[in-house]
Amino acid sequence: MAPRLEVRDLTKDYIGVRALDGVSLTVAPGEIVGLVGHNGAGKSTLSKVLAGLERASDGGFAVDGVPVSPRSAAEAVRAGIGLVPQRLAVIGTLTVRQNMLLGLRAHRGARGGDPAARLEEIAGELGIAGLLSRRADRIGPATQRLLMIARTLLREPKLLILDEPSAAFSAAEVERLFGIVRRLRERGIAVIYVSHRLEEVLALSDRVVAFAQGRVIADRPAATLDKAALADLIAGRHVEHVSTGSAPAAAPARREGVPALVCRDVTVAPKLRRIDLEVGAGEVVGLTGLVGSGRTTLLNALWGVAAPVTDGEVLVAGRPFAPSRPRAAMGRRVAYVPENRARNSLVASMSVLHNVTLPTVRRYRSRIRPLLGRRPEREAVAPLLERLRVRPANALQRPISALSGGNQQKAIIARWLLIDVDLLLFDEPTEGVDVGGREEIYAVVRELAQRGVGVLLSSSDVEEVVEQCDRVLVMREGTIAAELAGAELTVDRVSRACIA
Amino acid sequence: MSTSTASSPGDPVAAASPPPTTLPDAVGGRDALRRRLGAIGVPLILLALVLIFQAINDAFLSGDNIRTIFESAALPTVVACGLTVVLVLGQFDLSIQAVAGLGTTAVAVLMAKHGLSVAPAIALVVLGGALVGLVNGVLVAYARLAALVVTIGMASLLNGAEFALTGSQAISTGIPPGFIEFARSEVGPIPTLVIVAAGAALVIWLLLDRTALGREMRAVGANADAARFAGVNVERMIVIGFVVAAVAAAVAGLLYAGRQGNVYPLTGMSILLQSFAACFIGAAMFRVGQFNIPGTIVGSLLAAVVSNGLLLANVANYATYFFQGGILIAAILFARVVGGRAQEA
Repeated sequence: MAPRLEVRDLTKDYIGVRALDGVSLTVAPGEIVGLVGHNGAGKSTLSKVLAGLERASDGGFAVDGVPVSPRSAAEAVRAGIGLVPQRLAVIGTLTVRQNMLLGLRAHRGARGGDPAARLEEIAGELGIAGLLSRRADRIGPATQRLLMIARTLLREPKLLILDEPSAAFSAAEVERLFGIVRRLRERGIAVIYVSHRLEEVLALSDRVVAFAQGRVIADRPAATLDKAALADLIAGRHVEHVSTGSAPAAAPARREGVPALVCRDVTVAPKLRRIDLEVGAGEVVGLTGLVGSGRTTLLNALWGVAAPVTDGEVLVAGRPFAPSRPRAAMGRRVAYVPENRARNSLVASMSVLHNVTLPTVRRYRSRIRPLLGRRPEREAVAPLLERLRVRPANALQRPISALSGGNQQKAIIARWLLIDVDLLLFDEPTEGVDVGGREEIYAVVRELAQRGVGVLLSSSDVEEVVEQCDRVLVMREGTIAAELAGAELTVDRVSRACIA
Repeated sequence: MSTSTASSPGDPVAAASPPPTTLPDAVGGRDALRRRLGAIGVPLILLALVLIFQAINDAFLSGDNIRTIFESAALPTVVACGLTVVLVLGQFDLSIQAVAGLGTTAVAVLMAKHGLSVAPAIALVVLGGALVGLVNGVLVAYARLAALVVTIGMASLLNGAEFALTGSQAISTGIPPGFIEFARSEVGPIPTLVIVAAGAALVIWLLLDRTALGREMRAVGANADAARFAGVNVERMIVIGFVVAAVAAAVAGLLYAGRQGNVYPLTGMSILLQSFAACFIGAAMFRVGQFNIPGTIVGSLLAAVVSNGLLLANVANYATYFFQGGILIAAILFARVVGGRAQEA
């Protein structure tokens, strides 16, 4: 009998980044497969490709022996693949019942049956039958998750993918979820369970597949693993890699003098509480943690965007700092390169030059007072781009969207080299940056540190912070859970601190 | 990626999207051809229309008629240039016609009924325009209300104000003759209003293309989140944009009072569709996909050429509506095709 799902040599390339690299795996009918791995290891990309949200660059997959290559979510549903995404997506103004039926017409005829009768049945199985007429924004997040699962089950999937389903769940709710998944297994539905919570994966799964850097690095029966072994498995590849890497032999001692940044008991309601940290002048401090641990919230608050600091004390270069807006932070010689470059950094329709000078454009006056001088602007930026080796050369007038990810990132860094900064906040520095570009970005970070700039480098890539930073802080659930330096600073230790 | 807490309220797609997939600069003649066509396509259409109208009626290209066309395009161009600033910011202003209308009425009332001389009356009207823009801008930028609805509401308020100011009466006497003469005068062969319009367009063009303010405004319109992270005061830029648009409309409105010489409430310039058309047609040329002042000017001229040409061709008056609406939609479609991704406004 053909496996329920057979994935063969699946590869997914984004420009400059290989998110999936020849992934093969099979799932039998009625089997529960746990999918684990660090952020960016490829789990979500695999889910998206299977669910028709992304198209594979190479390779493919088959459901019950029939090759499918869905070009849309609807096609994947017709092929029998149901994805419950990580993000809650319910329409609050509709009832639970309406949410379940949403868009169903388009899929009707897939496997017949009367949706109304099945709806009651599925709602009963998930224990939300009593809530069918309730508005979806009046039920809690855990129940909303069940609603999303119910909605997917109504499409009668042969394979159900649950991406971090238990993030908002209490222990009792997790048990209920497990019961539901096991009943699905009895009906022959295959389940892929993606989770960071290793205990859950071990308790529920028949088999565990571990991902790293877009590849399957382990595929074992769950019974042969315990939590420590699983954590090793996830981190293991990293450890090998580090040992061959060229990490600095000994972390340089913290520089003397006034620290670039001090946070004391900083709270950003409601997500962060009592953050204590210090970034010395000339020091590169890593900040890591799982998705949702609060790293970006902290950096944004320090930059004066989104949720503000509600309590505690911030010192920049030794003087109290109340982050109110980016311009004020810039005035205190702070710079910020945020995550998600396309959304938070790039003005795609503008040239490289204008993107670089966006924060400082007011400086480049011509002799006629309010007007800009073109030459001073070009003369300030051109040598900088050359020094950072932004390619192609002479890219000044090109639209920034024509550059590769790494060169875009270098151009965004160049912004802040036009200002003398004491502190650089750097979130996901190599997100969407190819390998060569990464090294160049790291070199810039090191050079800044040598010039005495304090760098707070936030990344979900544990390997990156371990290799590039003098010291690493691990965030968990909105606070700093661990600090690792010196001999303790290994990928293994940091990875465990993220999860534990 | 870690948690996204950018300033824009919840953006599921962007947060979950893959790294930016930027392609190496597309080479190939087809792309270059598209770009070149984009830059000159609309001006070519304008040229073609001129030739057609000239073929139908050879009075079309007479000196007098050319002057008439430019003169009729002058004040709408001022309004359209102001509107361009708001559109560059990614916003909408549907109150411009009402601002211009109130400007027309108010300047007449101030001079004819309250005996103000020309300069203070103009100053008051310009100030009033700025105030309207300020209210629009603050409601949109700081109270985060939808510009579409705010400015429709504002338009209704201002229309009401026109009746209140005039007591629903026409003003046919009392406007200083000097003011009327100025608005109807010519400098050499060129109508004064055309010179005024050219000056206003130049100022707004410099603002958008040659000042830090304009650069920051473009960034806000293209990616408000990125602008905010780069230290741009997004809210302030939006307020300034609405003020510029309202002041431009008020100036055009008050000059219209001089051009007409008498004023009836709610019979001011009919420029709402025309201004939007000029801006969107303008975005289909020069910098394709982006609102730009040279484009807006050509778009404005196109509208004037069409209505004048149809008039001379003895086409029924209502046909102008078909042409203006049709050309507007065709221009946006054209910009989408040649620009790849024109603004989605």
